[in-house]
Amino acid sequence: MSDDIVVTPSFPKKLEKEGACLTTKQMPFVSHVIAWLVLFGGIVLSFQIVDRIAPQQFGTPHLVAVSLGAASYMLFSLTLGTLMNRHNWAIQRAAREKSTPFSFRFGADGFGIDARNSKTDYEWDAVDEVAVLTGGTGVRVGVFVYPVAEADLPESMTSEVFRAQLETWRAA
Amino acid sequence: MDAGVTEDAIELRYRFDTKVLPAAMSGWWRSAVPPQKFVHRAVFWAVVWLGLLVLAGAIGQYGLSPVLVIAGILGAGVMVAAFAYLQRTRMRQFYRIVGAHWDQTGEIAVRFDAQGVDMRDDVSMQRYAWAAIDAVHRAKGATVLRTGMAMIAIPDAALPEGLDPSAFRARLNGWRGS
Repeated sequence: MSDDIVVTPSFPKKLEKEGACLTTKQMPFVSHVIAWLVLFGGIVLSFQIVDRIAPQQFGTPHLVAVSLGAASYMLFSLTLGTLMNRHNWAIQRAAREKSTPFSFRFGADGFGIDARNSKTDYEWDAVDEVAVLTGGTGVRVGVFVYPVAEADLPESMTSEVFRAQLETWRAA
Repeated sequence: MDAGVTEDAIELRYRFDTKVLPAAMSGWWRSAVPPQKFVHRAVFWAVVWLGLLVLAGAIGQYGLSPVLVIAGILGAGVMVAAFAYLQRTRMRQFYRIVGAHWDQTGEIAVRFDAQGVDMRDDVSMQRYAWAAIDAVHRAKGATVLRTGMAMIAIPDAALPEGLDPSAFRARLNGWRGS
């Protein structure tokens, strides 16, 4: 019988972002291949269409124009994506700030979250994943990933020991 | 805890149908990050297309064919399609991974009353005071409660006859506001 591990999470930004990727990272290899095929097929098709519209003018400038258009959209969507992401994270952190103080309680019975105005208890069956993150651990329950930084753990406990303990409880 | 609607409380019992998950999540997200106003979006796209027109005119000045702009738009269109495909597969994977959680929960019993929200299923127990509920939002086929960055989704199908979704939300907001 091991003692409960109680953690006051500090939510380091990097750890939290890495944790958020747990639910989307495993895109199948086939999808990647299809996406690239769609991309190249589409660009070749665009060349053909351009050739159809302006046969006498078909040549390098049009190929360059198609590629420039593609590159511009990529740049646009990456920039917008990054900005939106930053904005969304700020909102998420502010929303979470309202529920502080937080504490996570891990024990033989399960995983509990105590926050201002709310209390949640999960049995170990509810925990979908105990994941290795850089500098910590991500405990995933459905959509939500609860990040536990190594620095948040009780003194002299490493993330490896922590995860091993969680897995033992989970398996019991 | 029996399902029922009284003066003091609403009690529901249901199994979560993960088919409402995408709509619920987007409603939940909109409650935190409201979408851009239609006018803003319209102005944005008007500026983009106007810019392209100006570009077509400008390259014409240099003796280049405006058809080049159409070629550029085609190239961009290909990228739009590729990104959309990637996004769709990513989201489908996401809902599959996340949806697997409800295989464990079994029947969910939830009670709303003046004190707050009490939710239990086979593997968890959650208790929220109304102060913890930041928003009650409408989604397609569900009502979504947002607490911090967590979500509670109540499918419309879980509501008993005689309680329509908007009346349900009105009662929740009544408790939340008092």
